[in-house]
Amino acid sequence: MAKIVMKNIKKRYKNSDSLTVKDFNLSIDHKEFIVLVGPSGCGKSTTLRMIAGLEDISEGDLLIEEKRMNDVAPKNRDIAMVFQNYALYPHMTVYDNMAFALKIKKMNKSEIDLRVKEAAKILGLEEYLKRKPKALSGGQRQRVALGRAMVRNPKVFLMDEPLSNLDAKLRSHMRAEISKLHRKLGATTIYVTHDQTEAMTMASRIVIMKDGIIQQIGTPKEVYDRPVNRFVAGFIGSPSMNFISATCSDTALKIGDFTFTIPEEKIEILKSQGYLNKKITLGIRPEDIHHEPKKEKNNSNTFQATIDVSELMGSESLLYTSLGDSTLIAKVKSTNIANGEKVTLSIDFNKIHFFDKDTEEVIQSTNQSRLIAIS
Amino acid sequence: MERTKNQQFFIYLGVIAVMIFTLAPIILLIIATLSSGQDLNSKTLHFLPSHWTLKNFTDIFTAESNDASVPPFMQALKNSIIVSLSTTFLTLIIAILASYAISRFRFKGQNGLLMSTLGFRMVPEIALLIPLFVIFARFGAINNLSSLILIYTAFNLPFAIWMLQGFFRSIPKSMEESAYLDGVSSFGVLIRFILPISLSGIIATGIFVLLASWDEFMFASIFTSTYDSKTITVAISEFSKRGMVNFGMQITGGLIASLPPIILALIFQKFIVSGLSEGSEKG
Repeated sequence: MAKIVMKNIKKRYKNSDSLTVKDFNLSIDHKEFIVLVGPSGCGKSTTLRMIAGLEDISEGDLLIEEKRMNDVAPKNRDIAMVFQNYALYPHMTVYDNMAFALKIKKMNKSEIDLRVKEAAKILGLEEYLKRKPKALSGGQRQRVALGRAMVRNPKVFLMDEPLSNLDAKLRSHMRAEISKLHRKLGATTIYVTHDQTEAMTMASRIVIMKDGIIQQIGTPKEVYDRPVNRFVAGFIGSPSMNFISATCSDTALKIGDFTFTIPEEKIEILKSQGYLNKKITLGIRPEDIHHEPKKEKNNSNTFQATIDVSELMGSESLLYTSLGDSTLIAKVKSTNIANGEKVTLSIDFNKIHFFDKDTEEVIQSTNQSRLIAIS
Repeated sequence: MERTKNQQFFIYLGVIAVMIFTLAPIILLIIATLSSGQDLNSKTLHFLPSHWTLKNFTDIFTAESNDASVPPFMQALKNSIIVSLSTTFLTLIIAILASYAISRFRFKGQNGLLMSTLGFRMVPEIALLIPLFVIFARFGAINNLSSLILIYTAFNLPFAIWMLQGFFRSIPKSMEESAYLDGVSSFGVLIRFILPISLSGIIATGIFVLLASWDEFMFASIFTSTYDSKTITVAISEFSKRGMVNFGMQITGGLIASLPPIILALIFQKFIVSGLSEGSEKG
């Protein structure tokens, strides 16, 4: 339960010219659940390891509870870390794995016993305390790793892709467990993942990184609704956002041979930023494209599409088609549309995003950008 | 697939043939130790001795250093035990520290160091025999068990370091990092985690070193000339002298010399098998 401040943190590895983490600035509040997310090699794990003290900080300051931690040994930072491959001690029983850190601290035995049993109860590990890690399933091992962190009652929990070694079903189960645990313990948590679903479902705030640079910081809803650039827009949401090149005049939006009428305020945004009649990238989320079975022709936001592939996902279907030069994925209610069929699709133009073709930054009204800066 | 009775018969026949092929020499060895010198030297070939005797054993265990005709076997046995156990102990301590450093820390010349240990192993031992003898003789360290221990340690280290660093590398690094976060020092990590986890690998390596130094003959024969310093391999060779071969003693000495490795192998076979297969796979 601690406040963490990272100021201008940089990481340069020996024998490397470029920075792995470039100017990382983040202030984390008590009890926050921060998720660092990004593709592999974006520097998220390195950042986490710098907070843990497993990597040196090349430049900048790390403050935990207003104390500078750069040169404090990992064991004195009062943090606990959960690793991707669990990192359990294979020669010790589950009980000893959890009790180890406390034994090192020379805590008295009855207190250790109390804490281990308490953690085992919360995690449902009571009957496995005498087993060695080898005799546990992946999910149980993950729980032991969590328990080992819990018993220490640390100021900060660090988790480095803790769920990526589990199968899909177990992963969603453990996701909920960890969220529940966080609510119960209320410890500040920093969680690293490459999985945007984990980020969206667990985080109080998401930090999206790419090439060692923070792209955007915000609540799951903020980064989903108002991505600041094409990378964030494409990374958050599944399936990813569709990107289509388009041009917009002061009356209509042109994509390939199709012309659409779009809401006035959207045109206003482009106008105010000087993008009228220029090539821009349009971002449309698959869930904002709808199937119109009744074929309302001549409607300004519909178009005829030939479905290349239709994937039934259960309650919904993914339709792969093309619009202009780009492929387009639509996420619609479960349908029986066959491959090759012609259907009418509509686009919810209230929810589209515009991006600059070159900088890939979002195009937004000045008001909006001020809003994001404040948040 | 079910095997027919006939197939099974031939499989067993094959197994028995292999058993005879491997065990027969050992059985013959045991029979020979229980035969008299007359039987062993007689020209007619016979499988079982004309009369059974334990004389070879009583002779070999009572041989004293004052009896110049027979080398003192017990003394040699003692020397061998001291040399091979000390060599194993010393080699393991050095190799554990060296391979842990090589497998975990990054330092200048790391690869060069590892390669040079291997390169050293490529040099034929015989090429170093005379130079080493000259060096040790200058220091007056001939006929000295510590000299043998030192030489054996030097020759076994490359192998031990290579073997152990393989085991250490297979231990996930995150486990150690987790231990650091729990408050353990790097030396504590080695003692509390690396050693117990790679115990089977360490034991397997130790046994190889032990056997290598137990069996060593060439250096022992050159570096020792007094009965106080001769090892068992040298002592056995000395049962045969110019114009005279004491088959009984030689065979009995051979049998006794082969017992410790067999006993060790039986006790630690679990570790040897898992140790040999463990280093190769990722944890």
